[in-house]
Amino acid sequence: MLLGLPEFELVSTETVEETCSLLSRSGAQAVVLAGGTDLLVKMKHRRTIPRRLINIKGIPNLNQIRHDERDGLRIGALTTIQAIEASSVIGKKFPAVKQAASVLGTSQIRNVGTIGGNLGNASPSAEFAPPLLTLGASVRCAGRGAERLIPIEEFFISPGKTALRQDELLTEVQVPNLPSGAQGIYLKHSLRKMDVAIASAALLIVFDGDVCAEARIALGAVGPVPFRAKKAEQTLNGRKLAGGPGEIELLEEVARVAAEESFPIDDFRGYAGYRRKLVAMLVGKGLERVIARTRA
Amino acid sequence: MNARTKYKVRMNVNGEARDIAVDPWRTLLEVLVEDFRLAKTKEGCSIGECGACTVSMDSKLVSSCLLLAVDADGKDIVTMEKLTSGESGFSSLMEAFIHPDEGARRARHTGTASTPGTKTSTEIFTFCHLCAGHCSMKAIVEDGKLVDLEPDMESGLYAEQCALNKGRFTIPEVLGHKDRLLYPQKRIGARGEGKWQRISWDEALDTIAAKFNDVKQKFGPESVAFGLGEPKGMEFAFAQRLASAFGTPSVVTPGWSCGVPKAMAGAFTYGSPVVCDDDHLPALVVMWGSNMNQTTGGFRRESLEKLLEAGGKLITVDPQKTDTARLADLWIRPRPGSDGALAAGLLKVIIEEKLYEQDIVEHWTVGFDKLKEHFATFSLDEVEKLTWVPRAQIEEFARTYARTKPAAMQTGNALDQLVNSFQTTRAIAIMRAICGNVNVPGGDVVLTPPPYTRPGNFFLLNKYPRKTEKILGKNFKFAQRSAFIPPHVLTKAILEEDPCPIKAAMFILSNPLVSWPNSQETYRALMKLDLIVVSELFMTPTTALADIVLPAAWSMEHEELGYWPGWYEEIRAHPKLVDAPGECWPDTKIINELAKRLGLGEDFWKDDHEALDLMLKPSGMSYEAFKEKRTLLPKKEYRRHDYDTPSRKIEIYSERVEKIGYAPMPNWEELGRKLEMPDEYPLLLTNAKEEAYMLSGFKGVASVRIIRPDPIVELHPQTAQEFGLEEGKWIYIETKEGKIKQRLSLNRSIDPRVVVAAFGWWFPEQAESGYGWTGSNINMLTPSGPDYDPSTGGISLRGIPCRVSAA
Repeated sequence: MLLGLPEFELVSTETVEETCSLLSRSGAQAVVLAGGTDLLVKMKHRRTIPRRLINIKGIPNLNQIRHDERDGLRIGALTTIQAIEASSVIGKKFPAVKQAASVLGTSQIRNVGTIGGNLGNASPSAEFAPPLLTLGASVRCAGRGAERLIPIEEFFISPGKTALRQDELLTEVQVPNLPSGAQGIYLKHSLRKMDVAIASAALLIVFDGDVCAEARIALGAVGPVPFRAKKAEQTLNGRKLAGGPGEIELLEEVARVAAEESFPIDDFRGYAGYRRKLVAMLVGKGLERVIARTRA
Repeated sequence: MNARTKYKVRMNVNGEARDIAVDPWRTLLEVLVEDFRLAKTKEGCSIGECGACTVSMDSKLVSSCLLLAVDADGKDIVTMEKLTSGESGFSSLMEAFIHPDEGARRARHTGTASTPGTKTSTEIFTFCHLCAGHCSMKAIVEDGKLVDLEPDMESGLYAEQCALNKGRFTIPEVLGHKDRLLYPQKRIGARGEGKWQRISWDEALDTIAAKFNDVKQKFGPESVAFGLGEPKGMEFAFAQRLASAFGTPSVVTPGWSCGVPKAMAGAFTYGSPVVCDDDHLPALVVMWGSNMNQTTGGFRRESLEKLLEAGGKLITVDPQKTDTARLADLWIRPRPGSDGALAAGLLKVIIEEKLYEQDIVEHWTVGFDKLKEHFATFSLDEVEKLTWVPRAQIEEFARTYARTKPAAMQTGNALDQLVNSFQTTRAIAIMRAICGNVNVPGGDVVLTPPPYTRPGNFFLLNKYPRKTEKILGKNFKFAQRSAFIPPHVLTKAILEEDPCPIKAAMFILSNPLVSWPNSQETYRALMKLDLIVVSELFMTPTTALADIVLPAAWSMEHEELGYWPGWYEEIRAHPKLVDAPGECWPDTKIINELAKRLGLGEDFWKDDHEALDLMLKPSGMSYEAFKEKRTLLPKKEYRRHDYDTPSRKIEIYSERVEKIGYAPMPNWEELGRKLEMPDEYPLLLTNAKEEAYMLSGFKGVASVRIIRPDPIVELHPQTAQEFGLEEGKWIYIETKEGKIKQRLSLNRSIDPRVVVAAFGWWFPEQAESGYGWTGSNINMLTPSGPDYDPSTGGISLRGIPCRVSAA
């Protein structure tokens, strides 16, 4: 009740350059306001009290979804979760991203929250992080006078902290086109569909016939940042998926290794041990589904 | 930081262009509620989880609590009011608007991430048991687990859940919670050390029975105490019955700070407590320290929506700008603890301006002239000084109340938590009565209970009259009549062995270390007991000090009847929906089995559920038959001028009260009690119920902990500046009893002299420090005397002198 916001100065910017310049001048007391569905909650809880909010929703051309065969997929940072879920090109070519969008919060949140915000908030359970990790994505960040591309693997530093410098603004997510034979999936376990993940997993398997040419497995909510489960991936890379009990045993092994690679904490939603079990369950199930899809 | 700039915003709201100038930090929700008075769009969780604030913005559903009003500039807003116009109160359309994602709220306990609805699924009607609201719900049970509690849109019973949906969130999680206590345990090692050994139920109950009987034999039955909390089903009644049969009067219940003073006031003034009649629309409703959006045991939130739609008026009395204050036509912001003086002022205006109903006063009152004479001895200026409420507002309140008919008036807990609670609620009762609002449609009415076993009867108070004088002496006679003792009486008896020693205690539904006043004293008392038995769902600070811990089954885990709060006189079926986990037993079974081992089996049953039929006997229905019916509701007979008092009139002056030993008439000495504010404690501490939780409970439930993760204390920005305090930081709040830390939030709408702290805080994640009962617990700051309401033993828990400082 009555969780009003703390007082702040609001500045609306109209270009990326203006934003970066203002971020630089304002120092640590300024934060960017996109959808606000994470930021405003932290402010209401008085866990963050920024003196200045920089409202970037008026900057044009930051909410587009583009795709072509050469450059792959580009999603503007201000694209809403709902627009991502509704995008047919994402649904067709990068289904794990659509799956992540579809389980994020409520309709009301999806209509307002943005992908830039989801990544910038850097929660260990950020919905888009595991799929983007498996897709080899990068984020484009504009800073004062310069721009850089940060691979998503290097983007999350610790809970709530990204690699962005004080003057930088995340403008776009870039996802390269997938090799042929690639199948991706995102699975999340939470108490309710609308709740934050207790554990989540994204998988991308590149098939070469019945061989797993490349496995990419990313886990969320089971470590300080979302990460690739490299050991689990190695267990599967180059292995033949021949069906039968041999395959079942292999998949269980991969799931087990993934669970062991994770380092979850105990919190209100679950104990660490339970979360590890969930990792094994999600990875196992994800593998099953992705394999079934190839065979269909 | 720049000076406050206001932003001009134009939005289209429900088809109407609205222009407004706003501060940048105002949310769209605040503007819709406060500026545009839309009562159906509510603030619930405030963080986008509950949906209560949903509006459509440019054809998309959004949570207005998470949108800045400035971001609604140029947008087309449609609220529930527009969608449901013509459909008064709560509707399926509203529910669909608030919760548009089918199945998204269903809990998936088994960890299989499967789609809801693919397993065996049943729907059973029941009632929420989390708070006194008892909203009717449709429980969804899948594969033996409760997955959701939807509002019951079919039975015609009150179903609009609290804005935050605390029951809907909390209950499924508690039923499947990872930290539920699952088997009986006994303490090994030192008390509070946290070392436990699992034992059988037999060993647990045998140990308890042996000790209780041993204490009874050596010191008398009064040396065994019970501490009871807010009842859900029959457990409170069972515990009272056991106490009676055992022969102990040493029973602490919430009655000392909840409901009893105002019930007594009603009984002695017009013969019975009354409740707001929301079967008919009042023309005016007064919410005095009560906010039905979040908690209701009285005037419903649906009723308020209807009232406002029909053009009715609302007056809110609250030190905080609550939901009802925002919507009010008149918001009275009193000094915390000064409600008695305010009531006196209102009554004075009504008397002196002759705003009362002449006919009633002439023919239906006793003692009016005495009151009039006495009330001439103080001035409205004195009232203003004591209450901080401008005289003009007091007059406006009184005149509006007296002239707008019919008027319903609901008072909340704060009025029962003062040393003058009885006289304060007496003054309010008189005000109701002489303004003609008692027993009229749309006013405040006496309820005729449906036929079921009266609680006093079930408690066996006639068969085993309580020897209350053994523990209360001649004090607190209303407590004596209401089968409870105040907690401070028990702690003092434990510590000082006066008037009798207390050696053993059993606590159910209760966490005394967090919810009784003066926690340090409570701690010392608990540490002194020979035996502490606690029945609980989870480890809590009090449970951590137990010798025997009993794992309780909760509502929905067994067949149950809800008959409380007694003054709403309704009885509800709470069917069993799921199995209890582990070896959990419902409290009714625990008490029933304990009673048998104590040799008191003649007053108990083979199976505790037999009592359900006993409770229903006067209705002629068995419990099984009653389950179909679900509820028995009271009758409202509107018997105007039928006063069950000795004179058969409204007793402004009550000889009965005089005979008992208390002031027969509300008097200025008690109502206009001066407040001592020493220099070193220049601010006044108060608190309110936190919407996310039920009192001190459920701090380990994820869905509600994310809504209110920290204890928040509010100060006016001026006050924070004066004491060098920074928003967002943890600060100290201190009284002469103790010192705690809470996180600071600034709020311009409270009086700069007031500190609004959070109640009920402990930390399930801090096992190593006794679950953090000293860190942020407001009862570290509250006194346990020496001033008491002489009739009930109540203490002033609102308006305590305090100070704040940087941590």
